[in-house]
Amino acid sequence: MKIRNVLVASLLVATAAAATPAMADDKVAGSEVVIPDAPEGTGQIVFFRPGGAGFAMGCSVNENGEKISSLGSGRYFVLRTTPGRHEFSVKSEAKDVLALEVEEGETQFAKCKIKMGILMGRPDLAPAKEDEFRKMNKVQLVDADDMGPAPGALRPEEMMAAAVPAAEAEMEVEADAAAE
Amino acid sequence: MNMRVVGLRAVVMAAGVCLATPSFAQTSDEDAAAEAVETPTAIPIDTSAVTDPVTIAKLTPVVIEILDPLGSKLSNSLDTYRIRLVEPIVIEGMELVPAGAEGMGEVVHAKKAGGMGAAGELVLAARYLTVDGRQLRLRSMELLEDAEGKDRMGTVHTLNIASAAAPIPIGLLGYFIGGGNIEIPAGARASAKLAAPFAITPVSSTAAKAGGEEPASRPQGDMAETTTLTGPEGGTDETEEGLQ
Repeated sequence: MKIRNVLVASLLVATAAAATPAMADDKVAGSEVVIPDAPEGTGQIVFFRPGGAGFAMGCSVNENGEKISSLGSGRYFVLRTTPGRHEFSVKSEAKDVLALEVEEGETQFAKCKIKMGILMGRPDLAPAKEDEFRKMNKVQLVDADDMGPAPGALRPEEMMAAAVPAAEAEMEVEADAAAE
Repeated sequence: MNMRVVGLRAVVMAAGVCLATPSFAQTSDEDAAAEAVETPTAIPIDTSAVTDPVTIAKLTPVVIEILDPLGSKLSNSLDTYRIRLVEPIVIEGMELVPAGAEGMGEVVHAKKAGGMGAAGELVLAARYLTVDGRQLRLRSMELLEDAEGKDRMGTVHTLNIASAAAPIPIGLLGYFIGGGNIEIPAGARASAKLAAPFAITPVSSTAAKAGGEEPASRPQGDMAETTTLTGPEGGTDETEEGLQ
């Protein structure tokens, strides 16, 4: 039991040190991002934008005509919302719409890519897998200034507050495994 | 929690049977007068225990079959499609919902592949199965095995698929490069979960025993034989054709 506690403590210290940069504004690997669990009665969608073509263009994700968050190249944000069907749109030269079914307690992923247009790039919102997000070499949370006015996108401080318990739980599982 | 309730009910049922059986044996050994006296208290079989509703817990996994062909090019957002329960829902040896129960799914999002290498997109959700005249609501649908059709990419918790796109186009040539579309044949299987607890009365103790012996390993060809809650079997033919 003592060994387990020591392991948990040391892992938490290590996590705090390792996780802090991921919570801050620094770029980290997608595999290092701690995504908090969705609280009861809500579901989550992680919107991300891989780098590549059209990096100078923004990809503003909207719902019901209100902006949820901008999504620059290599950025991500977590939208926490009610279960059910939600329609999201992105718009520049052309509009693209993606509808997703948000499930309580579950996290889904969606990506925005910039396609070539006639005069400018066209954002394309599509369903994605977690693997695609995790394999990104560098990813950064959207700045709080670029979020809203529509609610739901977790601000950096909310991400940090929500992610610490998740990291602790993860560490405890790892400690249990190590103790065994 | 619900498992415990089911377990308790199973114990109650077993106790009811145990109590009832000796009473019959006893009455056969005793004279008619004694039987007439004892019958009112000894005979009643606890039928309420057999027919008490059992609650199937929220998030109980089920395996379903998509009965209609779907695709990013073929389907439209908000289209509905038929689904069918492939494996019976069996709890504590009691078959509560037989295989074959049909229901409905919904195309949450469909977008055909476009120029510039844009991939086709398809997001599906399982909505409900019709059981005992009521809707058993479903959620968290995910396709199983290679059911995602010839173009595949991934599943999330609902079935969200973006097909494998053509390579990123270069210059205007890219305008004529289309991404792949997604095709899901009839008969594709998927998993889903109960969206809410569902109370149901077991069909009968006999049916429960029969269903409890081999709930999950029943071959697909036997599904029509176990279908008791649904209508036409036309979907079976369509499914089998789709799988070939």
